[in-house]
Amino acid sequence: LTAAPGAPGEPQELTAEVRAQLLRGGVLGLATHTIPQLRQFLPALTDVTVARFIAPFGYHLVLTSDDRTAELIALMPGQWRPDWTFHAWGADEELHIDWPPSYVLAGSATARLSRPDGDRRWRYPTNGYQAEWTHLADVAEAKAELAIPVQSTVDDLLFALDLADRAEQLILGEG
Amino acid sequence: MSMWSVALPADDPQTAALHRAAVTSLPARLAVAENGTADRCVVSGRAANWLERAAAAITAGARALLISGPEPVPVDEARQLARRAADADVIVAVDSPYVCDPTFTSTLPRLHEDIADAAIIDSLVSAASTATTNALGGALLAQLAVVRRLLPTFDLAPAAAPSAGHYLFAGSGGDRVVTLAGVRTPVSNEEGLQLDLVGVHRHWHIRFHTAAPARPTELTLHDAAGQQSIRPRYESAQRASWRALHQTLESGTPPAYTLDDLIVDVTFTEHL
Repeated sequence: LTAAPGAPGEPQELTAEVRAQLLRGGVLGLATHTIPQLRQFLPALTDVTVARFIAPFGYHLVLTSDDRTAELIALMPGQWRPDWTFHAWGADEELHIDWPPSYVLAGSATARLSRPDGDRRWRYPTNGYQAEWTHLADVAEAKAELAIPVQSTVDDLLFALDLADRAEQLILGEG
Repeated sequence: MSMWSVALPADDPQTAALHRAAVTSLPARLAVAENGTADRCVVSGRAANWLERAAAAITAGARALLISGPEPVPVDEARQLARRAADADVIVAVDSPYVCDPTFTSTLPRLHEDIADAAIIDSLVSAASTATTNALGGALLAQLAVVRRLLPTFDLAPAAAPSAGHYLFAGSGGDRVVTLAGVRTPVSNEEGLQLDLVGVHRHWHIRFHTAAPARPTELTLHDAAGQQSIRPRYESAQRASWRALHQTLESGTPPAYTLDDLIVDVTFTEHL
């Protein structure tokens, strides 16, 4: 993961404005990386019910959409090994993904889909950045169509901005 | 050391089987009373009328009760049972599936030391989607028992509208973020409780399993030195609860998790 910005101090020493700014930075700088996965399960954002900055730098966010709930929680820098996971529960199955740290050649994440009759796991030797560059080369050479349309990426960004705005407003509203 | 006879719940074969295994593994202290008369009695907390059954067992002359895996009940009625038990000098212990777990309880001193460093206490309990309608309520009580053992006071509020399939409560205990989530899972081997104490210096990951009675709880500490797994204890929470209750009857030490502890947790859920 990335280095922590500055030394923000304890949360009670920070004004609501500063906490809101730090949380916005957390959403757009860190949480934004999980938005594409999140939107697969929560395509539209109805409400943000919890938005809290966590010292020294992290966040706790709860998002709702219709009958689904998502929770995003982060803390950094940690002196322990990096840990980035995604977990989704459905009526018939569970999905759990463990990612290695970003920007390292440590292979892909490990995804596990659990069902009552057993588990399936996926893991590949290359990471997401390598896959994206290889795919981009294929697109440039007209060997493939873009796997993720530009509009989808724009929608991810709009979702992240909406989330950041709502989280910021929630903190400012709480004072 | 005295030997005590134990009556198992005839109406809940699964709970009875778990406790039969625990009781028969303590042959110097306990024996199953096959004819139903006993000085100790297990009451299945999964029964909707478990308070009535507990009261009936007191009337029948039991000297001690073990309430196994209780699901929520009205707090006033739980208090009535506590008064009735006190008047009859009957000990009521609660077999909560996680808080009495020996691997967890043996590590509590280290966890208490590290609570000061924790910025996040994040917990998630999974109950089988085939379990009773109120299983998530029972899971919440079991989850609260563990979190309160680590952090006695905290404030929580619903972070999303609860459904039959999930709940999410969020709040704080001091400067720490505290979350309690519960989901129904279709995957039986995923049942249990996960708890993460996350601070800048240390990250404890705790995984309690309920799908297999002998599967030990996993406690792993991640810090700058690497990771350390706590030596697992292959003893179920039920067996530990029975050992503690036997100790209570022999020497007067309090049970590992009491009816009063349960009343505190039930009261907590009524305010959510």
